[in-house]
Amino acid sequence: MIVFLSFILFTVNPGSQSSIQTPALSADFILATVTKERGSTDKEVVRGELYVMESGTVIFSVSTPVNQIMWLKRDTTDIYYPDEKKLFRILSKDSLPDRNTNVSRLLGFDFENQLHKAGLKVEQTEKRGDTTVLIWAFVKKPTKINIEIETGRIADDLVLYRTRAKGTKLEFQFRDFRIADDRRVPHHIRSMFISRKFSKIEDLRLESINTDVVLPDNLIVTQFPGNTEIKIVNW
Amino acid sequence: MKKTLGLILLLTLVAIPIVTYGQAGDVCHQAQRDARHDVNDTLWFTLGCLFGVFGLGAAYLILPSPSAARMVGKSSEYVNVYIDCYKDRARDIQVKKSFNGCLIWSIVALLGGGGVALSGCLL
Repeated sequence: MIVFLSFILFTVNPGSQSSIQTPALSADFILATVTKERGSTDKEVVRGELYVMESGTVIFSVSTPVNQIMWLKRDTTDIYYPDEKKLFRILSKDSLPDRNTNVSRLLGFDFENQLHKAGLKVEQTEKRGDTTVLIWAFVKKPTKINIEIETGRIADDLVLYRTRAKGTKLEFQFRDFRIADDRRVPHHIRSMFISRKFSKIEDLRLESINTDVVLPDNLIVTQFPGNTEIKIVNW
Repeated sequence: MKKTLGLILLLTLVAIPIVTYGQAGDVCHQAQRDARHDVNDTLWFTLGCLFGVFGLGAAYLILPSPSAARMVGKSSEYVNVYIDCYKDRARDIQVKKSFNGCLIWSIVALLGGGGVALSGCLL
């Protein structure tokens, strides 16, 4: 969770003086993860609700496998376990949303535009089935960077973002486009990270994307119960 | 429209590798590996190289923060171990890299500066 929080700030009206309690949107999510490392395979499923606030704060309300609420703000991440009354507060001078969204500054509101800004151009265009694939290259290739980047679209829908470098591959696939907030939105996002000794595939499914919501009372927290065990981590 | 795409991108980046391990040792291993990936080696080596003992001090005090996505859906025990191991490992890497830079700086100063005083990292 790195560059993407910067996105939230850019895409959810960061200059707004709206109440921190006003969600810009909400969604139910299911995140299924399969990890392979050192000959072993781990599988995990996380379910819950996600709220993106007008202020840029992001809230994860997890119901499975643990009861957990996570507030991600600019300089603070609060991770709260209501059943255990435990709170972890991570404070960072290094702005957390920026830090938490370092997956790639290339992943922007407009992928192709962001790649252009990063100094890349479309080197080649291919048609693979119904997908138009753009192969990107640096205008002036940095001497030490050897990376392949591809994006793919079906009509106006971005369906693929793939990078390959030094024996590793990172790929995002966007599927199941439906109308939400007057736009076509992928309700299934798959990410795959594959290296020589490690691989991880994550499937994120969204349901009930809603832009007209009221934040549940249990997520509007100004004070935690008096017997809450608090661990403050100062970075 | 922007909000929706912001959500898409947010969730896309939520889908960063998050590993679940049953044992605290595995959690620590994962945290150390993530710290290794997150710490900017070049930055801290350069700081040590440019600022000598001050870069070394900064390396001890200024820590990167772990990706919050890695802790979504994790138990409180996991988060507790992860945070501590990440912090310790990140600090170790930064200090080591900064010290190496400090050492290089000191050697360069000695070879080029004649009577220049030794840097603090050699004391």
